[in-house]
Amino acid sequence: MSLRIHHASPLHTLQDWGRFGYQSLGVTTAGPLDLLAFCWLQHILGDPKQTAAIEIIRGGFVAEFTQAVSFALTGADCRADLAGRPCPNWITQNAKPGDLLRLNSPSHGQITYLSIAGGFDVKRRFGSVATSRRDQLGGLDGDGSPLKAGDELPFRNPHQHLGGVPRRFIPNYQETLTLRFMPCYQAEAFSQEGLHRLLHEAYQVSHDISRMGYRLQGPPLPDVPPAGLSEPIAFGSIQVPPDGQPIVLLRDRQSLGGYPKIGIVMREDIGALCQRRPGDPIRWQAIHRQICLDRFLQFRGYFGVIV
Amino acid sequence: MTASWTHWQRLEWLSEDTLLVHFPNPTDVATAAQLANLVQALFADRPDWLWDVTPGFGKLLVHYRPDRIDPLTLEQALSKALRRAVAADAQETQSVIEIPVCYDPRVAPDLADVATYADLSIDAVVALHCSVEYRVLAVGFALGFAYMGPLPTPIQLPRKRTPRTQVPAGSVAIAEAQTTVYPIDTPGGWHLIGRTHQPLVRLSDTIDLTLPLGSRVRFTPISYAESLTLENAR
Repeated sequence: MSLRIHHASPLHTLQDWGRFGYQSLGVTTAGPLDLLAFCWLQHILGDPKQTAAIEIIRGGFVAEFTQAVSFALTGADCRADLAGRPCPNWITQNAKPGDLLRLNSPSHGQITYLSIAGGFDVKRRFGSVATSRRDQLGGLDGDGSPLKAGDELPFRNPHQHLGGVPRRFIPNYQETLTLRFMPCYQAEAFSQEGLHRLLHEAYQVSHDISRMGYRLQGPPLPDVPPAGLSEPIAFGSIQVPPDGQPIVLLRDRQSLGGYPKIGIVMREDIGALCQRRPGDPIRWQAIHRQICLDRFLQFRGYFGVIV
Repeated sequence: MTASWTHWQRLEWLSEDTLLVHFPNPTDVATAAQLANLVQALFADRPDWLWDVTPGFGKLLVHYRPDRIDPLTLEQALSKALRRAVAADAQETQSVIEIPVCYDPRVAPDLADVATYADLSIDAVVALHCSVEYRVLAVGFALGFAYMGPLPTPIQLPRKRTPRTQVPAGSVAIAEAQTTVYPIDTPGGWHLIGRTHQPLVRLSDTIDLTLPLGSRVRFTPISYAESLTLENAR
């Protein structure tokens, strides 16, 4: 009763909603980089509060089902096949015992989520199975290690389930992304020219990207305010180090940091950013917190989730 | 010890579900102690609207559920927790945590450079580092990483221009007005002036930190031979 992993990379980890309640000790929350794809996965598998999914960054994952079960893939399309037959994303599939699921590298986007109906049975560490390499917490062994060949993910309550994401809701990761953000933190310490440049110039995703943060590349912001005392960093904060290139801080970010921050990216755009690849164009747009808050509550209401 | 503040300076609503509370006197030891009490007071009743909090240098990031609490009620809950924190602070009787440190050059790669920069002998740098009682002013960056201060002025110096790609766990380090002990192997830009065998994080059913926020700390020098004995005894 398990998913037996035949091939995985260090970028393949178990993630759930994240580990909350320990940030005062310096523990990172971890959790899914693309919350929307993660939520759709739980939704179409029939259990919004389901625990963990496998986060597969840049594909290249092979695993075998040892028991019949429904499963689904969401996020980046890795041209997957199940026992040699094409296996599309965003819709549940049924695996037979011995079926091999193979994910190639994604044609667009970067991150794919995989889970089964009934969930994986993995022991939580401090309330969560979310893998944090930084803190050496979570994952299959509880020590923060990524998934590897030979790992067996036990099923909790495997069953058949039918579900799919309506076509109009399937995101297109090839579209130029406009990152909407709420100016806050040290936004007012940046010069008008700096803010103007951010809002009007073309940026792109750099090669310096990880679960800690995505660094963007573009005309450097002028007159970056000096670093100050370390302060608490919220998910999606846009940090600007002295070189003027903004970094969006993500799930595995450090809990405190002293570089100035110009704002925070709207929650639903954070996952969309994470799906973009090095070289993909990015535009910025400032937005009011109230608009973001309304969308946020709508999102939670629809998926019936809480984080 | 008197509390350094009884009310916040301002509330800054950040992202959809976060609020940043600003307090005065961010580097005061009393502020750190009171922030620690505030975190405890907030978590005490495990309110359903509270996800998490991150304290740091006179600021408190509150990660809350906007579907469970409105801004005004949240402010009132914060006020109430703050009153409790102030009351707790008045009766504080915390003992000093002693950290034995080996300052031998074999485990203190930057000690000589620090001495040169400060225009002091190596012994004088060590003596200064051990001369005062520190407070944990913030915990963060990594699990169990404690920012302790204030560091005696003569040995204050900026961070290294190029951070080390790997700092071994247990390294005792200084930068600007603070000192720390690296809890894990990690990249880092502080100056390494010693090593301790003392573990900083114990994981069991709970996460126990040797140096939690607000605690009082003193470093005591030990010889290289003693440090090896203690290391082997672990």
